[in-house]
Amino acid sequence: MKRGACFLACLALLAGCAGEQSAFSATGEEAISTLRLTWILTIGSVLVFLLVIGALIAALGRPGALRQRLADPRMVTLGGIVFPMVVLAILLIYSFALLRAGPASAGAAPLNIAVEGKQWWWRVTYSDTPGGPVESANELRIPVGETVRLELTSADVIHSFWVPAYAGKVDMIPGRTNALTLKVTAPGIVRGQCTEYCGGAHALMAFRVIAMPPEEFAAWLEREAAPAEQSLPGEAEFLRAGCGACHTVRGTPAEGTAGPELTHVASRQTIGAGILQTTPENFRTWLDRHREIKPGNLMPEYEFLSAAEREAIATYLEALE
Amino acid sequence: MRIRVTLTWLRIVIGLLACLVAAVAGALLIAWTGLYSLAASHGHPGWMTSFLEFGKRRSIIANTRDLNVPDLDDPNLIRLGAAHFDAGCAVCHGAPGRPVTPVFEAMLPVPPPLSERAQDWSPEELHWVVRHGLQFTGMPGWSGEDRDDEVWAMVAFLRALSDLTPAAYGQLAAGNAPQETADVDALVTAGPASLPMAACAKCHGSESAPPTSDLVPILSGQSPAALEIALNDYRSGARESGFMEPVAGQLSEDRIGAIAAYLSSRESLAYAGTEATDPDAIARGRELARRGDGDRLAACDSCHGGSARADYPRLNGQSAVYIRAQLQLWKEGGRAVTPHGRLMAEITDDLSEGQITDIAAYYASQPVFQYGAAVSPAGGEE
Repeated sequence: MKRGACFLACLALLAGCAGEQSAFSATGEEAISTLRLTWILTIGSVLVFLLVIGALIAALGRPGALRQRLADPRMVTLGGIVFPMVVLAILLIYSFALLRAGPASAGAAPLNIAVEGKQWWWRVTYSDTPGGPVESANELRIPVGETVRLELTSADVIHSFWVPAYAGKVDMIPGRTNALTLKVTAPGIVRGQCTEYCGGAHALMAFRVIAMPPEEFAAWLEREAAPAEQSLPGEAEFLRAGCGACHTVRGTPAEGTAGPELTHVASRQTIGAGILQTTPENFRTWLDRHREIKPGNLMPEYEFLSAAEREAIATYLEALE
Repeated sequence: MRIRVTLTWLRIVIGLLACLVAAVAGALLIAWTGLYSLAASHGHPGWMTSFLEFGKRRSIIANTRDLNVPDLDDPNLIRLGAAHFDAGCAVCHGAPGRPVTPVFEAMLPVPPPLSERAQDWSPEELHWVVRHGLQFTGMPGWSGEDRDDEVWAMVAFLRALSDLTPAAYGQLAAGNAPQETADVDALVTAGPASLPMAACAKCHGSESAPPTSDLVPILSGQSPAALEIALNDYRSGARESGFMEPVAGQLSEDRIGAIAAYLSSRESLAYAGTEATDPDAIARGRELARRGDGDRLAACDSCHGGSARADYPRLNGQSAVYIRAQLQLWKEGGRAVTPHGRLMAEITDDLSEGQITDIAAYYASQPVFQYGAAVSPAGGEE
């Protein structure tokens, strides 16, 4: 009875392996082949283990034909030397092929996107856009089926870029550019997370990756490149409070670069670097309580802003689609 | 008859304790009977005077630490010190051409005439005394806590004091404010001005005169909201300054509002002597003010430029020395006490010494800001 309950509990835990941030729900080429290798290794080693244990039991059992055959020197040569050599050699060659394989060698010029880790958010720059680089933040959009090359850098300390559904993690090291090549096979939204401790709000430094069909991606990038609509309600309050000292909203005098770019912030999935769902309510929550929601984040608190001013700024952010 | 007492350690300890108890009881008895007169008019007996004098001297010497002494011949320090001395210190210590008033001459100890006595001490010792005051003498400590920087103005002035003629002193002390009016009628009917400290123009400059010192900001032309916040913060003691707290403490809230509105509508001459600035520093400062440093630093002009909220102070035309001193104060944590101050403290955390110099140089090179005058939307003129 007890054992049954334990088994059920373990089964329930397995549910945690699926989901938006899981290497078991792989949709990127690298993650898919790594997952395949994982399955081959796991199932293969279980089979070998069972074989060895079976042989051991037979060897300890009553004398008989089976035991006789196990004691045969040819069995030792075949099962003890040839079998492991062949299996390990095949695995080695397969994993070498895996390491080399992947979209990196896939001919066509990749789409370059620069991702910079910064305490505690991500600056995302679409470098290959016809009208010049387009900056965004805390969300990565990529076309399905195309080779994407991410240039990973850090502005301050070591961060690590990990989207388990697509590929293994790659460190972002100050003064270095590391590259990660991705090719995503199916559209969908997955989650990424900083996986190198980088200070106070490290655990709350996440992002979403949205894989979309190429034509949708192209249309989206064109919209993303466009400046924000001018003179929206609340723009004046946003600028007068000094938000532009750190945030850029293209098309307005707000040109700061210390914080995330906000031109189309309302069209992103999350705010606060993967922390809150983008909803009108959450813009207000973030303005009022961002230090509680994401302790240690570097945006100062504007204690003296009136409720009306906060409301106006939230309304403005909400309209930045 | 002889009493034989054998000395043991226990007996010695008990004996000493008994002496101690007797001494405390004796002191309490003297205090209770009131035998010792504390009358200031009596003066101390000679031995007491010598003892107290000795203790004071030793205490000052023992507590003084090595400090970074600024250039004490800097007229900016001396003028600021003179203005404060006249309003705050001269009443007890007298001034050139003005002896100690009879009221304070009757204090015990009598406040020393500083024209003569300030020379007895080194700059560090004077700094310690002005900063901390002296117990049992009536000498108060500096009212701006943690504003050791301000105290140097007093030290510089005290060092210059012995050479001052009454006329020269009068000129220094009055700053830009008119020297004492000879309006006998007003004097007879209204008495002397009731707010001797609060003549803003004395230090801060006006339409006809620049600020007396590059350590003080130009107030004319700031927005009323920014001026009100500053004065109210000084008044409540949230913002520390030995110069400004006593001034703001004399003002009612209504008066602060009226002063802010008045100053905001006025203009001021720019600083008289400007330090030679490096054009490269100004250019670097302009870039920082407009765009930040591309890393963590916010762009100063987004808040301190023309079109930002009225409660953010404008920096154009303020002296580089003043801006640097305030930014240093923020870096040391001295201003993270009000909502606005806490916000700024997060920004100054990321400032390097070099950036402070560049930003100060840039703003000092700009024409003095005028609230309500037309400004470009991004703030800051070319």
